[in-house]
Amino acid sequence: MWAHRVSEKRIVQPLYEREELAAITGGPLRPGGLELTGKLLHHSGLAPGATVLDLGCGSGFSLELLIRVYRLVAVGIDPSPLLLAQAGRRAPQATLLQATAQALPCIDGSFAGVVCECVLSLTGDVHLVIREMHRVLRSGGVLLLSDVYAHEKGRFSTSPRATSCVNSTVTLAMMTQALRAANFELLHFWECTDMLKQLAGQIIFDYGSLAAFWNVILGQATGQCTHDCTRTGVKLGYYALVAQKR
Amino acid sequence: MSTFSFAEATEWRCAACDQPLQPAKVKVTYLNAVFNVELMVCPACDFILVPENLAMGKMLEVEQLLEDK
Repeated sequence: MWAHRVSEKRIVQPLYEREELAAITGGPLRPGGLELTGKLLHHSGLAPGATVLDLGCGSGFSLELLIRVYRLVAVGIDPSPLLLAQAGRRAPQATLLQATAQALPCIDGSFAGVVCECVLSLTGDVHLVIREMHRVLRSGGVLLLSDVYAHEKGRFSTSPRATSCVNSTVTLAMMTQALRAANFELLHFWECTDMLKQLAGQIIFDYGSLAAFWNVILGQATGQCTHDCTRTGVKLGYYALVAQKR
Repeated sequence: MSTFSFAEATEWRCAACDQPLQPAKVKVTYLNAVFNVELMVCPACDFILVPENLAMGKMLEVEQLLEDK
């Protein structure tokens, strides 16, 4: 187990921008990694040449997969200029845009597919972002979604100084309700909590414990609060689904 | 998936083979999770030494996580 002093400036850097975390999985920091992305794409019906948006593209691992393996025309959106720079190197053929999920700089019906992996719970407004994704999909377009969910209703209350997916999660019932309300039809659903536990286990092996991991990344106060939230009452799960725009 | 190294020099030897232990990659499985770790192993019979602090520390925490406790 190792620890290092984290400067105040680094504490506000989002969790998912930390390059050292990619070393844990050898790829994207999310449950299931690219294998789960491939499963979603396999069930998507997207044909080569289709235009797809990777919302919250991060450093471009999925973009590279979309382009190189599935031969899709890919657009990546992320609010982080640091991650977009990495994505540009990893997937130079992708069109990259710096923007937030709440206000996509895309005209209605632009895409045959939207990929959104372990991002929705980071946005703070699930309903708004789902409506945005619906807007930019063409009729019959598909949403490939994976994210954490809470077993119980409610949100974590942690310091706003750091952003991670555990800061804001919803239940599965709330998620499916939001999709229906936005005129999505659920085509496929997978319970993937085992993948979340696999990633958490890897983090424990690398950082010594989940508590140590949160303390290193988020600082002592926020890290302890996040750790306490995950251990007392609210349990996290992970899901993946394919939905179609009606 | 990355490999986590917990291999460190030890005076322990394999009693059956009378061999000094060597670092080696080991696959640790529990329920549906698989982790690649590096531990001290007998080169002759593949006996694996799991240090007590590892078993009672990280491994215990991972077990509890996987069992949802």
